[in-house]
Amino acid sequence: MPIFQQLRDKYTVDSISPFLACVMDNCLEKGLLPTEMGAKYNWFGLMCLGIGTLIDGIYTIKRLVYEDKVCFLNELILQTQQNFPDDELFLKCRNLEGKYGTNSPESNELAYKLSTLIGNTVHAHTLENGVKISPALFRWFGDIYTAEYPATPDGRRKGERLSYGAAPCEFVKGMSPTSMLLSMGHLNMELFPDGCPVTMSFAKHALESKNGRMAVKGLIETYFANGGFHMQFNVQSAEELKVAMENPVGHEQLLIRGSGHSNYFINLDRHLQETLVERTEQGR
Amino acid sequence: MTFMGMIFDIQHFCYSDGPGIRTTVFIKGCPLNCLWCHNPEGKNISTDIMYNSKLCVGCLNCVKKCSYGCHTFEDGVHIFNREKCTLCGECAMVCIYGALSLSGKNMSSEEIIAEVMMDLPYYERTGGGLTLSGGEPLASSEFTLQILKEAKSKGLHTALETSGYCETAVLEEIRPFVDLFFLI
Repeated sequence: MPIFQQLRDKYTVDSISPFLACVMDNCLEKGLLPTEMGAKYNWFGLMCLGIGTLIDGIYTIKRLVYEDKVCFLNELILQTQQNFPDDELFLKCRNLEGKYGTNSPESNELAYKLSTLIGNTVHAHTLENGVKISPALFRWFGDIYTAEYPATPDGRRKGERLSYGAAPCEFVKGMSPTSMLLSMGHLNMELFPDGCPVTMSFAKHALESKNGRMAVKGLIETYFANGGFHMQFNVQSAEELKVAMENPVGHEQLLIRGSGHSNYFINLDRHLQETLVERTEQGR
Repeated sequence: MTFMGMIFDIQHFCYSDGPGIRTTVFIKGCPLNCLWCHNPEGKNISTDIMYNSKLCVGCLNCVKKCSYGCHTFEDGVHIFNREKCTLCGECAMVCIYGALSLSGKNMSSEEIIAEVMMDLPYYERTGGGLTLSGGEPLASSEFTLQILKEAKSKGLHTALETSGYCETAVLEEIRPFVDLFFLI
């Protein structure tokens, strides 16, 4: 907590803004800036990045050490610290089935327990002057600066991206857009009012057909009915598809509608990909 | 009695295979050999190893793993000699980049229905359900019929993509359990 107090104190010095006071309730009435406790609600956001990686790490330990007895705990700790020199164990960790995002009961339960634990722990503390700490499940640009993050027991080597927002880790096996959102519904999102983002990528074609639009609408409605409250969209352009053609890694979840069926873009034949790019450019 | 069949994919969030959000189950094996087949990995009734050169980063994991020497690298180019392949699938297990993958998994009708039922909240909201595709689902008609019966007992909307290449009696038997036919 002292770290967060320091952070808030820094903002108090660096971000004094009369403009903010004009647009926040009660500041003008009290004649105080938000940093001087003038606002009606005095919150400080605390960003938690990598909930998916955390859930998968605990799940991997639970499965491989205690249930399947594939390795001992100290062995897994050593491998993780040394960035997985043993390829065989690395693959077992990385490809383990039933991780967060596959809607398996075990990882769903961990998602609820761990998010509740983190949320409650944060909410149990306040900063000076009664400033409430409001947690979020993301960190600005947390997906870009990855070199500093060490390896994790879920088979993620040093420097690879952590899971972003409320979304699962990218390399989880057996995940679909539907299972991913069902898993995310098990996070205790009420405890994270500062945000639990997930970014969904849709191809332009998906939103051009009536069926596609109804499906996307149904996907969003179902997620929100199951506890979700924050979602972002990314509609693919031809330029983005070209990037995916050259760099398939990282574009595994890019779903595109071909002629009469939908498929994952990177799995399509090169010629078909080119055709789809051209069609996207031409807007049909 | 348990019905087993060879599945090459279960695709969630499909919206072009019938009304609403659907889960499409692809059954392996087809008696036809059409040049224009859009799912050639579904023709063969047994397992296939699929190789996607665009995903290969040249880590050599498959070369080290394969006991039969099927995978080699010549001038940095991955060569997959399928003649020696026994379809053991070991190479696909060690390929973390997904360039090599095993197509075809033996599943029971119960396992398939359990996975399909996971998306029930989406079907309820959008009027979606289960679509069976292939391959040719009617080439494994007993298995297909069993899946459809179990789906109907759960109240799911069912669709079937077929070439129609089967005995009339098979079609008559299966008809009551299918809400929508796609003749392709």
